[in-house]
Amino acid sequence: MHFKNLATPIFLALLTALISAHVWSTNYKIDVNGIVCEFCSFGVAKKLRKLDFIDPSQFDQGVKVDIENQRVYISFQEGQALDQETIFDAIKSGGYDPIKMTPMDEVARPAEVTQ
Amino acid sequence: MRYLTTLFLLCTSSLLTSQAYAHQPVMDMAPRWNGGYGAQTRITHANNTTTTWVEGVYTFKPALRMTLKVPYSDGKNGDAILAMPIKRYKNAGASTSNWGLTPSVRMPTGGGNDWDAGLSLSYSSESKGYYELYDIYRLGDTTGIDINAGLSHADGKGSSWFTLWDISARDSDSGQHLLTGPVLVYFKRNVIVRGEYKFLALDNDKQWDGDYLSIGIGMVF
Repeated sequence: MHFKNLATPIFLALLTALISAHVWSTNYKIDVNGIVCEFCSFGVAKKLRKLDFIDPSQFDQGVKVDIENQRVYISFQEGQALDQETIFDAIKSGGYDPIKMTPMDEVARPAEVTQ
Repeated sequence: MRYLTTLFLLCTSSLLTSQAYAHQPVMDMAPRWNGGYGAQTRITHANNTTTTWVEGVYTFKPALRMTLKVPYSDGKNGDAILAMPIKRYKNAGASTSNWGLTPSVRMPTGGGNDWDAGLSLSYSSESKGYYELYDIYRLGDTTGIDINAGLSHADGKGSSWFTLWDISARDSDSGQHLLTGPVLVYFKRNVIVRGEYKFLALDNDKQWDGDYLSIGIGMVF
């Protein structure tokens, strides 16, 4: 009887953990309006690399700017919570306008970012 | 923008000089980030005089910068120029552009007593493969127009280069002149190298003689 009462919440907790593990990614891509110049975008990468949760061991010190497609790729340290507002603020203070942020698992990883 | 380009080109044919391009922006493209700063040095040769410019820029926020330019030639400092570019950026998809309004003051650090005020209105735009800059200004007794336009190239690994064409027209108390020629700009991460050679295409200026050469290197942080 006791076990029967616990079975449902345990099952739901396991299911949630499995779904989270699948959807959660440590790498994200961010679409950024106007980011077409390597020199001008140096500040965006600089601002993002200063954030505590960026993983400097991944690709270009955790931040890769793709001016061909107006995207920024970032890598989080494992176990860190996603703080989109802080990331967007960093990009804005770098002089550009972020549009949306997408987990890398849901998009094709570009060859230059793949480790 | 084509109409603006045409208008500027028409104006340059009727305008025409001055001191060695003292008003020009310090690394116009960067730093555009809050708290960004940079320095560059340029060596220019014009009017049979070689001048070394030491220039600095600080960005309070993308819309507001402060720049300082100090020339050095013939063993002494020239008049330093302090300016405050105010910019309005527009980021749209695969392009970025800005309008700039830059009040400036030329200080008599070269030994004189005269202070000169200046004001510049500029527009620049960059998209994948193309860059353009238009700048109209007044500084002291000089009115001028500068146009830079051309192609940009990037290798996707942190470096890029521009191949541009420049048209610079000046009108001052001593007369008018028009210079034009190629500009090459190379970027590698936070380093910029710029070289330009401009031919004297039109000369009605008592104080101007010959072509113009400039080579510079700068860094932003």
